[in-house]
Amino acid sequence: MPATRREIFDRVRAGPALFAGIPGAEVDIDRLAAHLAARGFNAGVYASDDHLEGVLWIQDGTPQDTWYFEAGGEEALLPMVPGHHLLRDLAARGGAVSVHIGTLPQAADLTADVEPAPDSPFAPPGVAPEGLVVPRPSTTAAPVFAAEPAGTGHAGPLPHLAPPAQEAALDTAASEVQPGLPSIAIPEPPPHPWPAILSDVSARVARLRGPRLASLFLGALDKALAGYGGQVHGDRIEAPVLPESAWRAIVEAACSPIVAIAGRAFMDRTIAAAERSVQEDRVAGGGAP
Amino acid sequence: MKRRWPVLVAAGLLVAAVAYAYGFEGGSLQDRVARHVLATVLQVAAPLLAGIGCAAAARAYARGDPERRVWATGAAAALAWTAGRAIFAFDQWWGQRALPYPSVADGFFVAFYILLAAALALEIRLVLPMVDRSIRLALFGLGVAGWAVGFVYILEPIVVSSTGLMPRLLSAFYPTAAVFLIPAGLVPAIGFRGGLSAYPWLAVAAAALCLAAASLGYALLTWYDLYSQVHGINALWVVGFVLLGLGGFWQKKVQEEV
Repeated sequence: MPATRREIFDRVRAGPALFAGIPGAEVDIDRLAAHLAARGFNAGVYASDDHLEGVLWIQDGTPQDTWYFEAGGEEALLPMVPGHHLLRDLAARGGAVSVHIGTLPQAADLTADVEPAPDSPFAPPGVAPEGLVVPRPSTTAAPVFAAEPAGTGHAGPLPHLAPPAQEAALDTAASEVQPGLPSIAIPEPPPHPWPAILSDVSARVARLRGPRLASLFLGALDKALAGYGGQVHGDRIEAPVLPESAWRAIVEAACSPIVAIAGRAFMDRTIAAAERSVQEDRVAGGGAP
Repeated sequence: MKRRWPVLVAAGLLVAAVAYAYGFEGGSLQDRVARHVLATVLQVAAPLLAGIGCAAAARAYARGDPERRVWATGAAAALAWTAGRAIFAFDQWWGQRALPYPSVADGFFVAFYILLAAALALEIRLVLPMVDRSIRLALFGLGVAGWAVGFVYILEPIVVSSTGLMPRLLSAFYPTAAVFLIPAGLVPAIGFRGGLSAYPWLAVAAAALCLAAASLGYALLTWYDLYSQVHGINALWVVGFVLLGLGGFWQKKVQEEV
């Protein structure tokens, strides 16, 4: 049974929030989106005020669709202002900003409740722009990643903030949209063996920066895991099966005490080295790489 | 192993140079001039090495990393001392002043202590939650006790004398600052104890110990007109800055080793 964007959006919002309720005036949406994309989060950046709600999806290192709803409204709106400009305006007007971990659904799981833009390849002939287009019910599934009007990838400052690879991805997304051909939603990559990696990270931090910092790391990890039903027992990390995006949020939270002292570069190198070590151990032990 | 011998040769040459410059007395006029020149070069080269070591450590971090600021400030401190020593030497050789004190160079020496204290304060702010309260108090007590001993036995007669205000202030400031840098260097060493990162900070604390002893000796010797460029006490400055440089290079290695 295909779900509306509203249903999908509410489902994601009910899940874990990276942070919530930050006053929009204090948040630079472009920088936030670029940061989340660069860190590999699959998430929705949500902003709202009394009249409007909007969400910018970050997926696989790239900012994707932007959805808008009237406050509490069931159906998605297509604003005149394309892309995430309106989201930025929402935040600037003092709306609250939250980031929720979640992934965009498969194309088949989504109903098309958005009126296509007049200049979009999906627009029927003769549709004129008149402000916010009131959505109409439809039973036809629309391409998930093709809802943005053409050219929105270049509209805002986000591509300039994003790494070149992301800019290229946006260009490709804009140019490869074909009418009637639903694009394929990219599934999440296979999860990393995060418990083993984080255990190795803890050992490396203890060796290089002392057991005190390692225990701060494990404490933060335990706290972060608690929200997902996991925990740390001594040096052992127990966690249920979690999606990659959830793990990234956990790792980000757990590493914050180390980043605060030793820095981001040290942390990134340590995680990379731990990951290599775990993979090598698996290969040496005859397990899957 | 291939890259280790140049370091060993450099260390051997440094030890020989320090021993020749500060380990002998008397000799012919040529000998004394040679030792004076060598001592001057060492007094400029050692803090320069420390500055390079601290800058190398800072470069091992990414922009915005808190400890990058710590080591960059340490590098600025060591380079300020280098500038002060160069000005001191210039005053001696071309300014025709045997021992210019106080002089413009002292402005740089004061800047060194302030910057090094700032660097350590930045680091302490980061690691303080990892150091128990009792240890913090013990370290503070160590600093106060060291300063009190230095004050009673060396500084008090200078401070209460009728000499000019500036020499008295400087004579009190240098050892006071240096003595409190010892426990300040030990705080991160204790915070990271058990980890490789503790050793660079032990080197920094040892450097502060050498600088404190040298400062107290310098204050005492200048007060009794016994100080000279080739006096053995100067070896402590050189050793102190070499240790500070080692701390920087070591931290770079730890930061990049992972």
